[in-house]
Amino acid sequence: MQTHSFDVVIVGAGGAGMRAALESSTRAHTAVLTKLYPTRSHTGAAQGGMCAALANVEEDNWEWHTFDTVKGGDYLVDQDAAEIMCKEAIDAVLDLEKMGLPFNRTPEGRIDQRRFGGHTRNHGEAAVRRACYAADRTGHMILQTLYQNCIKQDVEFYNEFYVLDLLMTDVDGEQVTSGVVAYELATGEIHLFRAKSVIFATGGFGKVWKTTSNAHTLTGDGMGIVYRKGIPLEDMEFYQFHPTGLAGLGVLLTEGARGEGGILRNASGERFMERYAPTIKDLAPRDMVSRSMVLEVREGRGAGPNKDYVYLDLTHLPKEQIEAKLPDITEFSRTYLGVDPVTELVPVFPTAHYAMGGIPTNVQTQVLRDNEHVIPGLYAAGECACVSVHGSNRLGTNSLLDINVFGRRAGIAAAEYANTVNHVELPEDSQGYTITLVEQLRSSTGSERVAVLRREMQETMDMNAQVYRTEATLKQALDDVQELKRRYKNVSIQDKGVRYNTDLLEAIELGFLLDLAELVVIGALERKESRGGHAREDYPTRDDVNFMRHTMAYRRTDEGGREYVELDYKPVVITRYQPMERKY
Amino acid sequence: MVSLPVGTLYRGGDGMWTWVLHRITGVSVFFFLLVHVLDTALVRVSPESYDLVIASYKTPIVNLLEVGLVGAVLYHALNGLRIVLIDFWAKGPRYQRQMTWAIATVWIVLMVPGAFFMLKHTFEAMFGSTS
Amino acid sequence: MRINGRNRLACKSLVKDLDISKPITVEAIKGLPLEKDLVVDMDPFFAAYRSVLPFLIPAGHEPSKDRLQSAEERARFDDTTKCILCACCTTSCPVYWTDDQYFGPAAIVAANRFIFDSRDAGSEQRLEILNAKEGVWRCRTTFNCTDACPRGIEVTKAIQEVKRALIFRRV
Repeated sequence: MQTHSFDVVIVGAGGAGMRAALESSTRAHTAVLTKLYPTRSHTGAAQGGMCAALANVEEDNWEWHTFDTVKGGDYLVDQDAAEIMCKEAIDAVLDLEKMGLPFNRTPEGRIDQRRFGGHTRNHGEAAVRRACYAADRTGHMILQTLYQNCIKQDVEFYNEFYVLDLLMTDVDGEQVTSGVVAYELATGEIHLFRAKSVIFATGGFGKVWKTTSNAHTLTGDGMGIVYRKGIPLEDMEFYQFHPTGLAGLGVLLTEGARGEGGILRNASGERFMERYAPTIKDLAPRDMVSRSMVLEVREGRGAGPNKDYVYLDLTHLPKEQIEAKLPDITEFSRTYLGVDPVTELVPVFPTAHYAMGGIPTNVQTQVLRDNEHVIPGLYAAGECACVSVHGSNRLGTNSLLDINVFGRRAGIAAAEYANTVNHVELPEDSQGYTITLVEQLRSSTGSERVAVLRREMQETMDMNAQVYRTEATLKQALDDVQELKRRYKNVSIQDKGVRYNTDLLEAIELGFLLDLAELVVIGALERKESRGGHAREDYPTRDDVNFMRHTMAYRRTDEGGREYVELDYKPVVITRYQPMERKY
Repeated sequence: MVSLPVGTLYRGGDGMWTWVLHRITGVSVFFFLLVHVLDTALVRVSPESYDLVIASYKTPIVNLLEVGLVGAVLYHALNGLRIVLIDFWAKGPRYQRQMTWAIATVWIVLMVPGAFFMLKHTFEAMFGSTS
Repeated sequence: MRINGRNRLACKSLVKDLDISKPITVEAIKGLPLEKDLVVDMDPFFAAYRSVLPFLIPAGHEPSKDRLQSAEERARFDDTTKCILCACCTTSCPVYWTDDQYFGPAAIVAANRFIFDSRDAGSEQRLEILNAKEGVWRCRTTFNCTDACPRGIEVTKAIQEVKRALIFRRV
């Protein structure tokens, strides 16, 4: 077993992780650990764009952007965080351009911007062109550009190193970060990484659902790890279902398609969003569009042989525009459904897309262990963190912005902290938990199979905890997930080897997914209101009196040694905008 | 790391096979040249030895090989021109497949009558006159 | 991976597009050290990528807002920005199979992306790096790379552009 020593260890090499690495590596001795290779991170799948009030195309300013973000999050957004993000957005975009990102350009040669859902001028007057983009592969370009600059700065990567545990040492009664434990995929060896600061940038957990835009690797590892250490997870019931996933598959078609003028139609060809969001119609926030689509299907206006989806219509757009601005989604549609968007209507339906909740942090990206206190040396940024800058629903193009703004903040904060302290001794038997976890799975002779349990979890979550939820469906989901957690104790794997044992890692990932699925459902059960991405049919309105607060979920153990979930609440930070009715 | 077999043959496209053929024809013509330099060099030994060797080439098999040689040189030359265009013409790579078709056509158009005329003599010797 | 003898992305290859009357052969890509099953060691591939300085080397002082670039200038290098570093091209190259010192198509595409980016000033450096025996001159215009690229990048054309830039000393 090897031990390494660094000042800052970053877990995850996606947008947030690499942006943090760019700041941290110039200030302190940094290592980035990723279970993949950096350019395989899911940031690369993002298509639509990154928004900032550059005002290159039309009049715009960061205050309007902040308002849109707060309203888009159905007023659960911590407004001080939103202000910071929108103010720093402009520099975030310009920094990327300086790093080489090939944005699309206006005729004058400036960074081009386009319309996107939920982004308006003057507090909701009309849609505004705020999203900076690179064809329909903005995420890919951001990921590549960040990786290229990491190469330029000679950032140290440990690829295919799977972090499985966080190490914290008790110092004068307080838990202080001391490092992480990682499993090397190539050899099966366990590695200890001593660190003064640790940044988690591990992304979301879409694989909890069956229909999702997320890749197989999005299994909420970072969230799962900190949750198991007694750190709370915030707002887990808020998960975004992106409206335009390819029907039946979940593969994402960017909101940019609607930004370019695409229209959603039901079976009779009606532009149904006119009824649900009269002002900005198809560019309403994603949660509203998804609910509208589900309602259209519920009320019998769905299209297709089973009447279970709606259409995205791009046929009225010029072929050159589609091929220049939306080449990748055109290919997805052709490849996976055999439908050509230039001439045909594309079947779409909501797909599990983004975790608004996650590891709670303050605006300096320090991880909170309760409503007030931070854990020294622990940071989180990106989708796995909850600042909370997206509240109960995230606007499109705000995530690529979030990862850059808070990734940068995390990198600077972690490095500056590391430069003021010494290493803390690792706790006793640091590797014990991980070795037990790995060996138990490797040598288990149980009867359950990982793929079976995972499929059952995904199906019950799709059926019972998707766009619309009720007490009954959520209780069903909870029962199913808890039963699956019991069965998981009896899981075994086929591959008992040490080299490239993906069987073993999928089994570990399933453990994280089950923990997180349970939190989603429990949070959803307790939140008896509808807000943003969480829609309760039995409680269809927003209840600011009782539920204007963040959910904080803690893992506790009772006297019998059994684990259970305890929910607490954290107030929302309100600075400028009092909650209003959310109409578009 | 264990050294393992490289698996099946790579199913490359027309680009790969034109390259393979270019290399085969190039190597073959090179060996022909070697032989040809040597047999012509016999002139310096004695006129009789030169005549003997040249006479030994007057067989149907060698006639066929001669056709093969012309085919190889013609292919290598035409593909060589194609490669020059690919390298020096900006649109070259984009039209590489069309160029392959073009040289294939030229090759067939030249080789079919060419082979006929080259083999005519041998046919007549073996089977009698064609007229 | 190699599917029925050809480099493809497994996640984009539909079974229905293959001949299912015969077994489908699935193999690891050629030219990189084989680790296990379909897993190869990608380190040499990324090392070649890193060695062409695949990052923007700007010139002059930093502007306070976005650096200007016209739509035409942006379009000039659009094709090569699509690369996802999947290694389909490099591991389909017959030259790379026999010579692992060759940079390979992917690295040259990465260099091309920056050489022809109007905001970049490092063209000379990159051209010199590729002006080596194992550099761009190893390309035999076999076109396996262009055929294999799942993103539809005209890889051989990108390599040709670098060769021409070296020959004519014009970018």
